[in-house]
Amino acid sequence: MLIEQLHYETTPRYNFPLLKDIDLPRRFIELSVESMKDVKGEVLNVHGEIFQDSLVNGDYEDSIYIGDPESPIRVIQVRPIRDDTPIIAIDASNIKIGETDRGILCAVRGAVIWNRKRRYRYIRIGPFPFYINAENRDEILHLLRKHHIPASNSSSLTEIQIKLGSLIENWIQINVCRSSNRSIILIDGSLTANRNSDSLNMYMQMLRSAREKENSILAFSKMTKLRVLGRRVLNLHLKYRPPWILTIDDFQPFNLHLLGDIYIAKFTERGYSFRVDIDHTLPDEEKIRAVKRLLGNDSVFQSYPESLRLAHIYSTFTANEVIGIQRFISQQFGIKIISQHNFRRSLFGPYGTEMDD
Amino acid sequence: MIEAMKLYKKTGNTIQIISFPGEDVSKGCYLIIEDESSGKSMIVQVIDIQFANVPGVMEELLRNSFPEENIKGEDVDPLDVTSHILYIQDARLLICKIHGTIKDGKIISDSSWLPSRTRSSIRRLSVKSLIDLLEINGGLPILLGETDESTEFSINAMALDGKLNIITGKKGTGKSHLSKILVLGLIDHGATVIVLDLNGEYTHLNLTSEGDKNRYYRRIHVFTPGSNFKVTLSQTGLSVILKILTHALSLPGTSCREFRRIWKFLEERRLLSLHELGEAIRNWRCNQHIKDALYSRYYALLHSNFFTDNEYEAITLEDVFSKTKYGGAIIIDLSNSSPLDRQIVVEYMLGKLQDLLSLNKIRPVFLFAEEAHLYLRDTYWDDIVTRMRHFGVFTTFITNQPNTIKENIYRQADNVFLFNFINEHDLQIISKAARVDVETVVSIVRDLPPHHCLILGNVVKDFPIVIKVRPLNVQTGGHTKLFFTVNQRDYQLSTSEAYRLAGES
Repeated sequence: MLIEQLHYETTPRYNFPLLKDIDLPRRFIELSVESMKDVKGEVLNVHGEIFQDSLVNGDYEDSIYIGDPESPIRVIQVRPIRDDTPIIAIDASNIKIGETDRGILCAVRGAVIWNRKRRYRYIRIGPFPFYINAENRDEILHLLRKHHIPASNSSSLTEIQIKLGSLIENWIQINVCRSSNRSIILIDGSLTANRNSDSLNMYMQMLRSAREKENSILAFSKMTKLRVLGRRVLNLHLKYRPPWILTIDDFQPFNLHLLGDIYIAKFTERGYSFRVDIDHTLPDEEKIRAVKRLLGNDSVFQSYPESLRLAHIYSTFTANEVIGIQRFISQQFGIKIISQHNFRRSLFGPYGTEMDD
Repeated sequence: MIEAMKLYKKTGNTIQIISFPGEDVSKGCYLIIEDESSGKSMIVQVIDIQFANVPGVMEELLRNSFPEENIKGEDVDPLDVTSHILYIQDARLLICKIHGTIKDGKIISDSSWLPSRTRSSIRRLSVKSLIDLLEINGGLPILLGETDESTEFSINAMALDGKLNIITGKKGTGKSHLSKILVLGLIDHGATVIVLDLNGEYTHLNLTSEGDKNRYYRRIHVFTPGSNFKVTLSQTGLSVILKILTHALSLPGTSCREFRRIWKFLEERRLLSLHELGEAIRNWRCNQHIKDALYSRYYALLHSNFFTDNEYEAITLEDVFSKTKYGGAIIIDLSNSSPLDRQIVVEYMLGKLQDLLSLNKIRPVFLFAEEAHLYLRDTYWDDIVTRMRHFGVFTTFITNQPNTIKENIYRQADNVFLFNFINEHDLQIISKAARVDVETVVSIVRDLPPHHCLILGNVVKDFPIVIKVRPLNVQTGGHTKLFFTVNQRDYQLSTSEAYRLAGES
């Protein structure tokens, strides 16, 4: 009944692209609802959950060291092009809501920000609560793999929670790539996949869809481990006045498949440098032009695109949302919520912090 | 989506309750906390409604703020989780004051016990139920208005009997209106009411707003000093005249002694009249300064036009009171009297009242005094709340300047009818009324809309109640004259006319 009520056509007044493919969310929502039925009658421990940060997936990637003197490095200063190109940013978030004796309860949510002529609009998809336990973990893993999210049989419940966040994020990314035209699409993370992994297919599918619609995908990594000449990218300061991008040609790390060319970008004087991956099949001029169009058509704060910042903000769960979700679960599925006994506190008193775990 | 309110915290006589959207709770309303396990229920009044301190709300608000415009968009939320999130964000914290406990069906003033957080149920206690519990509206009801639950609210006139009352609030909030309702209510129950009417507001209480006679037509008696209200010296008596001379006209003690001699001299010869008094002062052998002082006071009495030698145009207070034998109001219209004449008349009235009451010649009276600081001498305040009350003068002070009433009057007030005040200084003054805690007064009174009144004291058995004062179909005199009420266009000049007039001048 619930699924039949779904209506994914967005209101036309903002000219949002339509998220057409509802195949995944239907199964996704079904799984969410079915998993939640398992939690009925359980006791949910919620100690400290509302202060927990979301667990992140896309921000981390394997370490990449760029220090080989053989690799040519070029700095290109970019001049913004203001041409009203739509900027679309996508991000997703997941959070643990609590745990029972049998599993964990989490929620995931995705957000899309549209920036057309510097007017920002959003769509948030979710939150979707999930109850992940030993009984349904195989079913969830199956769903993840079906949608090219790499997940091993040994994945912990917390890892599965993170993967569910990735699943909705990837679904939104693909749908936005398919439904938008001539736009700059910003995603959180990188365009890097392990060789022979499921995610490679997923990225290829997304990039192919984007190219067909003349979209350019730019992937921003906030927490990259990328090092250039032995220094972390985030702290890279060059003598050039921003905005600039630094290109690294002919770079191919071991065991990683790069679907994008890696750039280091610094857009404002104050702020950080970020790793930016751009679809490597695009001509070089087109890649540089995509960065210029981003700068010309989006606000940049601390060197980070505003649209992507908003997408992160809109997808992230706040503490009151966690309480709201706990209330929803309590009312809809009749679980009893208790505040978990803090063993560390009772053992160590004021010294029982979480820091030394 | 109704969710039960939750007991959150208790500090002293303050209780904090978590409330959710959809729960019909407003400032001033009463809640009952029922704890079945202890067999007791606690009655609390909501004095403030705040946002509950929900974690993460700041982030939520910041998320939706944007320098140029709010970001618009939509939520695809097939499970409708967002409604629960919004529900949490709108959670409210009710700050309540404990007013009593119900045990075995009776209200007792016990706030020391602690209801169970988990087992207590909290619900709104309608004012009607509270009134029934308190048995407020029995006896001789005076309908004052209605509660925010649209139920009629009456007080028992007997709760005003022998009591000191204060009606205060800022200008235009409806103080005089409530005062008129009380006056007419008391008349309905056969009481005698004296109104010291500073602005001539009560003079048409016997007419409907359309100008027709109403049922009070024969029970409202308007007396205008110097017009239809004149007295002779012999009716007044020496003691009252001396009070007038001393307090209203500031005659020094030595001069008073000389005046007493003159009075006795005239009285023995049955020559007590204004004319003879003037002659006696002129011919009296005494210090010239004293003679001058007596003369100046004599002329003040004479020019007040309140005293007369003509017994046919003079009236006695006993005659006046006989008209209100079955209930009525004596309106002393002071609107056209000078400040000095007002003081003379008020001294006369209070002096004579005291005399008549002490001799049991009249029944106790209810005195309504508007802006009494303008005509009441300092020493009378204490007199009124202590001595005169025992004689049978039960006063209601009406003022929009709460600082004009002494702090000890507030402390001894039995009933206080509070209308809106915003000024912090005023709020601090009225919060000195011993009948209620400061927080309740300040918090509720600050937000009272016009014509809404917070009632404290004996009439509500110390359970503060907010009411909307009912309309009254009587003609209200004393309207402030306004400049812009006339057709302004008749007085407007065209620019050319203005230039022409300027040139002429």
